[in-house]
Amino acid sequence: MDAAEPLQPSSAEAYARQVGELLDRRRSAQARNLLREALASFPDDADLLLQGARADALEDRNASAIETLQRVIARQPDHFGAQAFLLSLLTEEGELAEAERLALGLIGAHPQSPDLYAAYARVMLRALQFPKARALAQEALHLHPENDFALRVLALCDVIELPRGTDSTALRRLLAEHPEDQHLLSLVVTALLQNGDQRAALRGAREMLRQHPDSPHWLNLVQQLSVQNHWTMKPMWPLQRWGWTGSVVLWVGGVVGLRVLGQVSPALAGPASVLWLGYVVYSWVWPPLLRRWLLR
Amino acid sequence: MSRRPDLLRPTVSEPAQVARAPYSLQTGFLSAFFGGPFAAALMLGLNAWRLKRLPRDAAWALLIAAAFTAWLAFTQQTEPGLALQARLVELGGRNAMSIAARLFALLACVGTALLHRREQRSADLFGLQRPNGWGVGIALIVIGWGASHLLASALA
Repeated sequence: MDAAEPLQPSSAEAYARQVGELLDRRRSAQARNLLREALASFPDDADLLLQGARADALEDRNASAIETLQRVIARQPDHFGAQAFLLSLLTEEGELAEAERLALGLIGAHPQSPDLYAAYARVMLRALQFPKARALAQEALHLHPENDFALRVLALCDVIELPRGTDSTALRRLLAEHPEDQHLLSLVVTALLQNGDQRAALRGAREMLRQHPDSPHWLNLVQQLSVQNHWTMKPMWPLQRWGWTGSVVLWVGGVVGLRVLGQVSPALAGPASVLWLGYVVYSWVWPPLLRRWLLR
Repeated sequence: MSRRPDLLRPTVSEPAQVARAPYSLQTGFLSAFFGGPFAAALMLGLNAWRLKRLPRDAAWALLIAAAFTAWLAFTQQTEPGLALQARLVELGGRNAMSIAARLFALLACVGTALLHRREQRSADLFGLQRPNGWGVGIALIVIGWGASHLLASALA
């Protein structure tokens, strides 16, 4: 028997605490069993139902989690934990109008809570209202300068808004505090990709896959980036770096350049046209072929 | 009490007020490439409408359409414009005017990408469901190409 195995809980509160600890350690199956047992004795306990919603959310069953939380709130409208968790799930599910109403209600009841301002900022970010999201995150930091949640939202704002190559102060601060945090490292990899630094992004993604070998997200990203970083993809660098803008420049440069070359040096125009056309065909055809070959 | 009570006014209280993911840059590029400047202007307007920023961006869409119309009028109906057209054809071949229109459309497409840069990045970051660009893309190409040719014929 595990020396750390807890005693059989006897109250709803004790059950809820134990289920919560199991969920914190991602032991969903054990948590579910204990929760079933607990709800048999205390079917209407709000904290137990909240843990049930957590278990659902961990299994990506957000709709079920939302339904449970709405039932809890219907019975106990002031249950802060249920409301805060519901806000987070509504934001994730894109139910932004309802999320905003809930956020404003919670802030009205708890005006000094930096986490609530940060949660509302996240709703605004998801609604693509960037100035308001940033202002709300900064308001949260004004209430508490080291608020983790607000710094994370600010880091997201930076990754979205700042020009390529600009460092995010918020992201650097967070990484200094939580160097192993998966979500932050995911944001760093995203920022590297947006800056066109495919190689560093691949290194970051490989490191994350080493830490989380069962993660389909990191596996998929490492596979995609391995394709992008293959030596046969080197000529694609301008298109990888600048995306569709690079494609526009390629087309404009090719057409205009070839016309000018045709006037200035007709002998070179033919070979140059073939080269340019070859590059265009390569850029369309080679990446999907390489992807199929490498990921077979 | 917040220092900024204006931040606590609801801004997405109705689902209709919530911005939706824009069409992808690929859809915009291909629409502009094959449909020309009018297609690029329509794409800008369509994305602005989805992002709930049409009042802000409508002027840019109208500017693109007006600039191209002015270009066509200049090159088809004025002496200096006709001379310029002849010179371009001399330099670039008989497709020079078509290439110039495409160039204009692609530059408009780049401008649109810069204008909606944050929204495009967010859509990728949050994994927002992009609308299918096939139907709209083809429609914009047909409308854009048709409008360009009709206008060019009318002005010739």
